[in-house]
Amino acid sequence: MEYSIIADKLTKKFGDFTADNAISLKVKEGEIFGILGPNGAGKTTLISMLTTLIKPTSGHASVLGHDVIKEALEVRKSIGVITEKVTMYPPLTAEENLMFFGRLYGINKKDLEQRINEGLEEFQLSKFRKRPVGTFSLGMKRRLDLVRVLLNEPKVFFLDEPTVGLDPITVSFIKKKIRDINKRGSTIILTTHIMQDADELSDRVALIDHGNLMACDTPRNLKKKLGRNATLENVFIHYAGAELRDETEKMSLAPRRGM
Amino acid sequence: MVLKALTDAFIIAKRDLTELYRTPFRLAMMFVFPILIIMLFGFMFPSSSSFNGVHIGIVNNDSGFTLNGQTVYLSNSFMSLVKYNSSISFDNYSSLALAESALRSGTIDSILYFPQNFTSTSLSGQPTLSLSNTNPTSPTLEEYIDAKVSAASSVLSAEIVNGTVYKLNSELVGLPKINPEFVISPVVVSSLPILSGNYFDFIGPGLIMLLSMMAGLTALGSALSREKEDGTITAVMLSPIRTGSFLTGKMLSQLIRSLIQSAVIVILVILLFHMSFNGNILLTAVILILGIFGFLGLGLLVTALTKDQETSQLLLNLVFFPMLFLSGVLYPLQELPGVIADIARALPLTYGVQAFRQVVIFNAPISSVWPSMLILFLFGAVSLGIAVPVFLLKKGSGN
Repeated sequence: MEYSIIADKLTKKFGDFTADNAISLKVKEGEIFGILGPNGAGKTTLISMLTTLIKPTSGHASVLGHDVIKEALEVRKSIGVITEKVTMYPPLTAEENLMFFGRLYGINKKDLEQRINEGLEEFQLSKFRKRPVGTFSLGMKRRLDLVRVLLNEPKVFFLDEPTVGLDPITVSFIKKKIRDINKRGSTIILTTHIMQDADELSDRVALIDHGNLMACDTPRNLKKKLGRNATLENVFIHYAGAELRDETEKMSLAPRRGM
Repeated sequence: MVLKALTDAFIIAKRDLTELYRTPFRLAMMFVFPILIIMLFGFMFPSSSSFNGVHIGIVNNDSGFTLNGQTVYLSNSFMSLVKYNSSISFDNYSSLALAESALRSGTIDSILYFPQNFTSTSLSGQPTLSLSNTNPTSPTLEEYIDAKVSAASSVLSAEIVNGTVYKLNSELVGLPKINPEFVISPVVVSSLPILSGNYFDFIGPGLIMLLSMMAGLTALGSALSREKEDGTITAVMLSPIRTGSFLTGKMLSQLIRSLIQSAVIVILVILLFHMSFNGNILLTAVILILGIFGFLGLGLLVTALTKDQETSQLLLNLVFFPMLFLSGVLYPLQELPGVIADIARALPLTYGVQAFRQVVIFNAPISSVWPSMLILFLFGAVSLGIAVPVFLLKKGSGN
């Protein structure tokens, strides 16, 4: 399969407000694809549609050949999603959280235990496996989140701001892990406000603003268009503008976490 | 597919219960609040043996009646009868004014006043007067003491009549003897030996049903709101699980925890407040489950329509308070005025309370309570039928 993700004129409206307007893009297999844009630009809505959390108003999209509306369960089986907010149950231990999510994917107990052991080892959390997640630092929670999304061995990862609020050591660790995951052949969709991360990690980036796809190319090509010493931040400002903006009331109605 | 859906529901329910077990505060509050409510009502509307430390001030001016060198004091007999089978204690006062002052200060709960001619007038066949005045700030205590005084008065009156009639009979030579019981009470009404109960027997089952309703109404809603606010629901809904399985699992865990909660409350009210429990345990459990199930849908609907836990709590209060006062929990429906009684009959909790009360107190069979059970089931099914699509619609639209 040539493309992991295909979006065709994907549109989402909340009443009169258009969060995403006819966005079409194709993400190649094994690619790290960055999605950039200011707050309220429509990035999270786009990811919510691609991960089956919300239904598009119009247009089509498929992930690994499965339609996001008609084959939502198939899509969910083959993706791993990290949201900006850590999504673990604080009173449960790390192991209990992983067992719970793993079982929802129908992984048998023996395989699941093995994957949990390997995951906790890889992300250096083995000795905390019996501790409630509520006692973890943000960095530990984020690492545990990565162990969680690896449990079902997904082919496509959606990482929404995976490094936000983390210390530089954890950021570096997580960036390395993102590259490792990608090297195993997985496709990664990355949304971030940290231009350096997007530049370092992404093979291609899409720039979205006001729900419209403004540009889509490799970071190198995008920078090249603006001049020799241009950065990805310059590209961002070029398309999104330098003016400070607040989310309007209507924009704030758009889903942040999909529910 | 069905097996996967059921397995997923079970996984969700197990996780919920594990989380509850791991959260001691939430676990404790699950029992503390209902117990507090039950205790409050239990002490407000106690059973006859529940009052302790009742003090009655005695102002005894009775000079007695002397016959054949022996002085009889009926006031003493009266006091013994009041005290019989209770923990009432007496404090003596020399004047009514002093006793009234003690009543106002809360030292005593009631006053019994015997005039000087109490015994002599009573024995001479004339009606006599004793005074009883109880602290009106506690209606139930007032009711309790009044009942004690009234019972003592009846027994003492019967004794006096017995003595008078005996004397009369001995003087009626050649005539039919008079039965003293006929003189005391010409018409005798006996209770059918079914079951007896106190006021807590009335409100106890109603409160248990009310708490089950609250559990059904709030538990699913607050569990979903918490997941929404924590974002964990997103992670769950991103896994290959059907929304139906997720909701079934949530409902299953709430049913299990509410049933445990109700069982603890039932045991507690039986032990602490001596509530009569004569019903079939299985039928009682089924009615409780239906009571919880009946309100899950309404709770889910409110959660789906509100953005956060606080708003949904406010909306749920709008449901809770009318139900508390109008569903026959505290008063029989017969006591409610026309329109209010009609409203009460439209509330599903009314039927839950009726069925539960009939089973617990009168050991009613399923054949007498099935219509109420059906109403609860239908209300639950219809409200879930509305709530689930609304929840899915909200989820799909991303709100």
